[in-house]
Amino acid sequence: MIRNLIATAMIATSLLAVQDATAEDFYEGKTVFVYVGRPPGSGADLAVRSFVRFWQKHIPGQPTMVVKNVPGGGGSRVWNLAWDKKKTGAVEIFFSPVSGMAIIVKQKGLRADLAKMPLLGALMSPNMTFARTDRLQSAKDLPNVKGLRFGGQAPAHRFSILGRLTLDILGVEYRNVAGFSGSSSVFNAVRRKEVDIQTAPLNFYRFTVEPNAVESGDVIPLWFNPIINQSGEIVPLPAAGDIPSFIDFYESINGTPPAGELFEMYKWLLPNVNGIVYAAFMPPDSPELALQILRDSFASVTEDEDYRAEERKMFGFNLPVVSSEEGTAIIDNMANAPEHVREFLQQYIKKGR
Amino acid sequence: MIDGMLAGLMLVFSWPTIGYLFLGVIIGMWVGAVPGLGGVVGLVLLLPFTYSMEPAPAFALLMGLYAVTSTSDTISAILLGIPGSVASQATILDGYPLAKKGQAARAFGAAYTVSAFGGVFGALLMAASLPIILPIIFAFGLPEFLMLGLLGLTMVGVLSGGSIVKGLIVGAFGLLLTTIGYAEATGVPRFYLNTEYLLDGIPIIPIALGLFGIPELLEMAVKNTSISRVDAADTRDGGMMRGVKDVIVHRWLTLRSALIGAYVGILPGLGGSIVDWIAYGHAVQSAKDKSQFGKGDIRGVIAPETANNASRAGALIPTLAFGIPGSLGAAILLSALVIKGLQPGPDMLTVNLDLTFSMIWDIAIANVVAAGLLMLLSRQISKVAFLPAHSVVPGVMVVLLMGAWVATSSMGDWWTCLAMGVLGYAMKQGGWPRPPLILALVLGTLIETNYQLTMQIYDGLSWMVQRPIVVCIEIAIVVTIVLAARGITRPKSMRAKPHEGHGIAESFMSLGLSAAMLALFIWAYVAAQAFEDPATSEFPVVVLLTAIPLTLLAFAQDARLSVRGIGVAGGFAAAWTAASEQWGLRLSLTFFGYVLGIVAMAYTVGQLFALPIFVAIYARRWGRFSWAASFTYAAVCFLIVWGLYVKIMKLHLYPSLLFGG
Repeated sequence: MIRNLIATAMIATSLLAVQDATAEDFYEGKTVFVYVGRPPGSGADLAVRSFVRFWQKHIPGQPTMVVKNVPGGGGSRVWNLAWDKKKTGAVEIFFSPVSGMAIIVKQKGLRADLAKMPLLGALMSPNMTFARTDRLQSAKDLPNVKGLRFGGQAPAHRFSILGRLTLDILGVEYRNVAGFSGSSSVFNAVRRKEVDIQTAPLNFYRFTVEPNAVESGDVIPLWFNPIINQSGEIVPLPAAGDIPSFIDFYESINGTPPAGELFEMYKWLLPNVNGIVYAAFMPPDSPELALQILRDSFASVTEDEDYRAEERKMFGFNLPVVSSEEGTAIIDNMANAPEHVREFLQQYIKKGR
Repeated sequence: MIDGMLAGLMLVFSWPTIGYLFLGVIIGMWVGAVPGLGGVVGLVLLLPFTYSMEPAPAFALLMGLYAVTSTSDTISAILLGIPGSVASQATILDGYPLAKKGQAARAFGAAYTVSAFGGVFGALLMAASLPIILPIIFAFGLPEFLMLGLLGLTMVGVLSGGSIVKGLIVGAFGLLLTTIGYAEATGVPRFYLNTEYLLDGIPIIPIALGLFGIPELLEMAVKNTSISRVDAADTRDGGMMRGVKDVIVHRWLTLRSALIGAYVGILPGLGGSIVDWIAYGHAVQSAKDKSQFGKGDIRGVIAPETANNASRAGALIPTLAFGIPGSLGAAILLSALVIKGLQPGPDMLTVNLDLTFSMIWDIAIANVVAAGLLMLLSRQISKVAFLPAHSVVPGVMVVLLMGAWVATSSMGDWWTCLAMGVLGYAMKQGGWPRPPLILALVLGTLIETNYQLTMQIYDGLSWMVQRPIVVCIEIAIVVTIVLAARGITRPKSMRAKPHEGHGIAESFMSLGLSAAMLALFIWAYVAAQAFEDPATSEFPVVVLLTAIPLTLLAFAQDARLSVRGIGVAGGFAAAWTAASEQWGLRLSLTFFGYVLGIVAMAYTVGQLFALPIFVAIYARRWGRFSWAASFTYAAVCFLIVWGLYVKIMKLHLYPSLLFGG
């Protein structure tokens, strides 16, 4: 009872404060916590920390922003934490990789309904597939090589699903090796010749794979998974350089564009699961003024030339930006995925175990 | 190469780089010394400050911290028997008994001397070994990592005291704990009791702090003794310089341990976890007189402390040169590298060779500076061992519980710490070794992952006989077990003595533990049968099928000893009374009542008030301090929690019923 009274009083006070506040003084002198659901030192941690450095300069009042890591629950814990903060009036940001698969298949442990949480903005992280050269002389040999081993993380991981789907669409005979703890672990196995093919983030390829294995001729790039917007158009990806998109790769080998049930699934996944990666949310029922300020400032960071230069230094290219409207539509799509998509993915994940 | 080394040295000694290196060392000494914090927390705290710095000073700051946490974590390992980090586990076995004998300063003297030597030697060895490191790393595939994990676990199970059977059961229990939460291979959650806290597994810090810290604090409180069981006046031969001389006497052991540390340390993900145990095992196996190991043999401090510092440079090389981070700390350093726009890989050995060498020099210099500073401080630090128990217990309890809170900042951390405190107390009273549990937790996921991946990649079990390194490790495992079973390797002091000193209290507690473990293992086995995928259930089932027969054996032994003890005591009632007295049951339960009280108060008024209230009540009621002293002590604790954990570390405390978040 006492707690409820105190909580009500606090919310009422904060709401009054919000009404009275202007964009200029709303965040002045405040500390804003930004939660990331991955451990320190991970790719997501790096992306969020670098974004946040610039973000605080774009928020009127220039608050102090503190990044906190809350890994756990297979990445779900951070979203559950955000969900639990609804109606507390907390002005906090949750900026972390979204697992589209977890949303679509309604993964155990993810209590938060991301479709009901306000999105501030998001970034994409393109990914690509590469292979060892001792198993195939050139990319064109791929469909003819038997017994290849595809290395991936958990069977429900985005890279595992996209990697396997593309190999299945091509009709490659391969063995799925699931359960690596991250892209680095899979790549170590690639270097030790324990697995032959891997799907990984494009920046990981540029920073780790290219200098250590491509330049020495041990590994060749095969394709990147294209970015398709909500209108179904392929978004150009200059960062991919000479690497073909999967659709071009397929056509170069088979002479015709890919088709069929698996490709339809791939096409459905690309704008959704692959369309949003690092997403910044606030808890449900966050103050409208706080939301507006953070949405505007998020968009403003992505246009900041200093930030874009920093991003190029870290990732080798600029991460494509997803507006809050586009991102909300993507999250809605995944939360309300057609039943046949959900069933297909559940079975496909099961088959990957 | 020489040019690169000299250029790197020049970088380190340029201003402000050297200043940042010293600053990193000071902060590293501090975060290493506070249980529960450690290198990762320190690196995360410092990382934002390096964004706008030039690479050399930025890495000097980070490397200064990274290099020395395994030096200062020795303080809590030796003084309190609490591992400040995974790297200081083996040090407890002989370091803590030395403190109890009033020879903490001697242990510190030896530990800091070898830490400095290990750090410098490891750094120089890695610099000289750069051309051959890549082949070494890639000679270790998934099967080799799997077998190395098993070797580490076997060594701990066998060497950490008590009976071999119980050591192996505890190891199996630890492995079972690592199967809680999402399985890496399938993403299916296991044994999580529909609790979100358990979905990603139990964090190791609250377990280690509860398992080792709470039983030691309880013993001090109940017996009202200082850490040292002898007076300061009786310890004139146990000073710091004696520890330095010990190192000179055991110089070859120091050198061999440094070699072990440096080369095992380069194995990504595994090296840092087992290196101290492998060095400790080597010290025991190579010693002619093994009788004092486990009772306070200085060689049991020298070997692991040399190895864990020597491993730091080894762990850095794969990160810099090949982009392979072997630990969370290394991953943070890698991210710092990326933030600076530097590519891990061949560039770090060519165009940026001076920077690579500057980091290696950072490690070497940081180790020497930290060891020197800690040497200067160790005379004062070791005086803590002679302070009255009641002045130490409440303060350390506050640091211990806040250290546990750092793990995930949820009440699950405190419940885990408390549960592990009860378990640790029972294990201590029942003569069960505790270190295998921690190493199993460190290695469990790694062993399971490597097992699953090995079975997917290599057909059948042919890899067990076809890969030379695997075969060598298998031989080492078998030899370790056989020699230990025959009592050749395992020191006499660690062997179970069923007939001497195996009191009724120990038998009863051990019997209770065997029964509880057996029930848990059977329940887990039944639960594992319900998992749909074989890949989800396979590893826990293998662990349980090994553990259940061993536990039955331990249960039978304990039952036999208990029955015999009841006979000697003249009946169950007399035996129970004797056992209760020996356990200090009433006071022990009171102590746990205090800890439960802290948790209950935290739910009500929050940690910021619960912890100082506990300190005041404990100091006044149990410690018989004056009101003024009790309140002053509580106020200091309040300032520590508020200043260190809330303001500096920005930790969120529990949103209490009365005051909210």
